[in-house]
Amino acid sequence: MNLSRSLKTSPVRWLALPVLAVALFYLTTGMRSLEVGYGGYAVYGATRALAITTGTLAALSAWEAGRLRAGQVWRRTSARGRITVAFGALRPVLLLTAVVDVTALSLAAVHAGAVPHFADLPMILALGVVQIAFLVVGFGVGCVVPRALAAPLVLIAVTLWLVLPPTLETPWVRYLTGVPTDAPTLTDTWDPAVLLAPPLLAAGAALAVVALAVAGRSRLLRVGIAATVLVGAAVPAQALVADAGYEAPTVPRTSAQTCSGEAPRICVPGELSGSLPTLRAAAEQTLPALAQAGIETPTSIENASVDAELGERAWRIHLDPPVTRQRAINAIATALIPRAPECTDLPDGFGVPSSGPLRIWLLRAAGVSEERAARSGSAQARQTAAEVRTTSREDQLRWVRGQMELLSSCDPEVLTEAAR
Amino acid sequence: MPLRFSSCTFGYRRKHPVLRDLDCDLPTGRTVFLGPNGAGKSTVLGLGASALLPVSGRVGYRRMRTDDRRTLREYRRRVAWMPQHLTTVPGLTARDQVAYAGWLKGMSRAEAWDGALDALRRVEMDESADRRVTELSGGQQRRVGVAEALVHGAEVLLLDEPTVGMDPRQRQVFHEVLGALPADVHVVLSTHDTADLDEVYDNVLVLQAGCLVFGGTVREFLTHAEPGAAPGRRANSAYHSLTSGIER
Repeated sequence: MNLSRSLKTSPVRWLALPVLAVALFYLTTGMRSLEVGYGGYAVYGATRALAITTGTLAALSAWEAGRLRAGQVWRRTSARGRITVAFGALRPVLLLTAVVDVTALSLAAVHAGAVPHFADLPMILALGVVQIAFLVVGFGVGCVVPRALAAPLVLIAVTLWLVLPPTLETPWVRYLTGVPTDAPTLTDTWDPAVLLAPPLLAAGAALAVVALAVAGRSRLLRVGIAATVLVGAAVPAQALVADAGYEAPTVPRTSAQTCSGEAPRICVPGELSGSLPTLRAAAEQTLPALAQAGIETPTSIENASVDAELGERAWRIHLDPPVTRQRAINAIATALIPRAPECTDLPDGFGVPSSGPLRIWLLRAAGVSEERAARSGSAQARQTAAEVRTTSREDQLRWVRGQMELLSSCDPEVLTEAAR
Repeated sequence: MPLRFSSCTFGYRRKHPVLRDLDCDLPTGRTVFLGPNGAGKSTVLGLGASALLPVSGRVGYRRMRTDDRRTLREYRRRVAWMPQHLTTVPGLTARDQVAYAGWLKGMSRAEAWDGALDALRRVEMDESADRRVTELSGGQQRRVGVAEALVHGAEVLLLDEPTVGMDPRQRQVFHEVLGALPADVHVVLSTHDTADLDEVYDNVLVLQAGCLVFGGTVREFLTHAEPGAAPGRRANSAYHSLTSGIER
């Protein structure tokens, strides 16, 4: 039968619209509006919507397998291989899967306001592998269980697998499903090691099903090979995510950076390239004032991940859209404030020192008005900063260096001394 | 060149062989396969079709063998099989079903689709081509089964009780289909119907308890009839005389 005849005899033709509708409903209600779109968010929205429909697609696959089972196709003296016969039966389901995927991704891109960057595609490729694997597993179930039972069984099992793990107290399990728990940002994207785990596990399960069907004439041999393949995939997949916590592991998103100018060079995610002139103007206003106060001018200013390694004398800013002139000035002026360290060995009772006084001092040194700078800290912080500004230039710089060391320290003695 | 069984032993359960050391060549031409229920006719046809594999021995056609993966696909393209119990893929029409059977046997989808209508026409089922197989009568379904065996132009047709459920007119059509097949297409079919034996078939095989008790031309078969048997009952008489003396 050609594909059109296959579609006429397949339940896919009845379920195509409902499946599409569910995916698009979940997509449009689950995605929020962004000031500036980026492709990674489109991929995130699309993959979450597609996860909801994967159970239905796998159930359809089980149903098609059940039709072959009812017709005892596997007992016929076919001149075509089993995989070819299975693929022939699955063509309608594969077509529906492709239509749903492309539609969801297209609509997600429109909703996110951006087409996925090449570097954002691994997540959707990973889910694609997971989808295909579930189709294969569903098909395998349909080959051995009557379709009236196989289809709902597969629907429930696959949907539960994709939906339940984020609710479990064992965090690493959720990263095996292929369903993203957090959206990537402009500066951070999903850890490739964590992206690899779901397709690895899913592919192992699918290959195990294939091995059960075709790997030799001995049933014992087929079961042995299938078990080996499954374990061989599950163990490394679990190892890849074993240390993952409740927050999805990420890596700096460096591939999509756009840079311009020199002294300093300013780099931002490509999606924010329109903000470069604003940042340049803010730097030209802020840096000379800070230099006058004794703060060394950076060689580059980068809107980058906190985990990204920057060059020497590079300042890191974190600026989400909208990038206004004032926000840019504030970000550049306070770029020197170090990120709070993770002091895991610190005993209880030690408070985190406040960056308020340093923040206000930097803003005032950069030329920000007292009124605007005051919004960045408490009354005590304002008072402290004001007192420091009455001292000599050298004393102020000494104080600034001391504050930066304090804010980077996990030493109990240093923190105790500062608290006095 | 005939389809050859060499020292074939087969059983559905390990210690209960249905066939033991069967050595025979299925003759060329039109051959009818007779024997009581449980004699092993369906098993022989299943082995010949490669649906079953012998526990020992081998089945071959030309230089192809059913236990050789390198030649199995070509073997299956050349040997068609209509099993005793027909099954259909749910939801398919008669033409879909026959086309699917042709595709399974290696035809392209386009060839199988066109060939399906031609095969149904040969068994006078073309007017029901667009009806679901499950809506057809038992006899009509068997004609669809025959069409499945014809669609891909096999060299050997192994048909297991193809005329069960057919009315006399349908059986007549079936015999005409057999007669219209090219001379180089060899047919072996099992049946309990011995009417018109000498008009339709060239050879007879008789199987009893897994053993071949007779293999030869129709004329040779009929010589085993009782001397006084009526002309229309000579085949029955020959059959009974060949099978009544053998104890299971």
